[in-house]
Amino acid sequence: MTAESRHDIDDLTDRITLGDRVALARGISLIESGDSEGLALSEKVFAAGGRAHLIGITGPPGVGKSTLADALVRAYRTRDLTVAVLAVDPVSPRTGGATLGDRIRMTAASADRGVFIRSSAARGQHGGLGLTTMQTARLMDVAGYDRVIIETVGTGQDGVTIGTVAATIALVQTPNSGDDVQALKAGILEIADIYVVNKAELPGADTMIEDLREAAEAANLPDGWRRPVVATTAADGSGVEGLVATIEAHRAYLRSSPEGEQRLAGRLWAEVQALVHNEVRVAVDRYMTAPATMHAAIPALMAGRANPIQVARSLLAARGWTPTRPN
Amino acid sequence: MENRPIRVLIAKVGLDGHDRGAKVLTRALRDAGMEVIYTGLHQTPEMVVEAAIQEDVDVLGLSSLSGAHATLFPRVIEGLRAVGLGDILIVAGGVIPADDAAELKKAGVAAVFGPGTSLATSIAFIKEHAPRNRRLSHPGGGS
Repeated sequence: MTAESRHDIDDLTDRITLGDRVALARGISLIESGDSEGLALSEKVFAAGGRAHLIGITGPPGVGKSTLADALVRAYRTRDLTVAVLAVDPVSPRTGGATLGDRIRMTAASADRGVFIRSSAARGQHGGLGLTTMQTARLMDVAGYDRVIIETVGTGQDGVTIGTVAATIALVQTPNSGDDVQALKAGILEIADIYVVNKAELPGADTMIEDLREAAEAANLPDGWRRPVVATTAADGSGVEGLVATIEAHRAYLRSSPEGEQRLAGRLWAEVQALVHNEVRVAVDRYMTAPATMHAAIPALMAGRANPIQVARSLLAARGWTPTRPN
Repeated sequence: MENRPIRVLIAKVGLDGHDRGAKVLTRALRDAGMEVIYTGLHQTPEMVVEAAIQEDVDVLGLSSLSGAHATLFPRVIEGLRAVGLGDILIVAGGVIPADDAAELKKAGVAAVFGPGTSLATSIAFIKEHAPRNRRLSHPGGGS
């Protein structure tokens, strides 16, 4: 990085910490680009972070996550808290393009300087969440937003889940999600801190609430947080005050229990892991797609003179990797 | 940020309730590898400026079928310039008479895609003219 771009990063950092929205938006773009400047920015702002409460909203498509996030924004604004929202959407693996439509349902932000909404394409982050998400959320935190809401369908790469990105996780279902509670993606019930039944005016809500209460009982630890089930109708705001109160109760719980520290440690370590994995992945991809590597190995494979396991083993050995499972 | 795809905001300004064209263009740009943010209907100029700031888009596509373009589009452009985002490529679509199109171009709209413009033409124009070397660290600074 040149001295000039180092100076630019310093300048951008100053403006972001002063709450300049144009600078925050450009900073997020820098992080999304994956360039060294984005990394430099993340590093520069790190010490100023840690003030915002990070809230994850997760659940299958169509349950009303965006509408719920919008309702939460409104509720927090009446409490005089500022809110940033990071809406993560998948990218087409074929074209690399993405339609980011969450803004349509987020109208609370339109003319309110206390709200910042960013749509993010989960680029290069298999399935959704990754380093970019963590670092973008931190930038929003550093910009002074009291609450940062991360809205996403699911999990991501390298074990990055909503649980390694946010402090309080709300899992959203609807009476007609189509999923039995039993059929929910393994682990998500344990990761979530709050279960939300949205569109609770629909038939079947009572059954869903009952099922989730049972699931909560199963997931609760003897001395830990008791997972509540909250019914909402985000479209008209019913139940949303209750959800905010529940999120705030969980925030208070984390601040008073050792679990808060443990989970912060988990999030930080997940970020370190993602950083290391990213570097390793880039190096491996470069090695594996190098013509020299491929030209040497593919003819032998095609002629039956070598098998994929032998080739992989010798490529690893050439780079000084010893097998993790010796045979 | 050369690796970053072109980011586009498609905004419906004014009171008309028709967004088929906007949605078709949104999909076409996505299929051309861009990241497309669609605002939904009934946006005020202030809302569009705010969305363009927060989403840090390279391109803004404004659509109006209600005749609001003549007054509302220039307000969006002024709003963007006021925060130093005058380098965003602005294109317009919808029902815009030729005289108005000329006025809009003077106001800073780079192209007007009227009814019948092919998607390929719109995509090619955006790919060619989208700003690709935007200043990374001084957005809104000075210019």
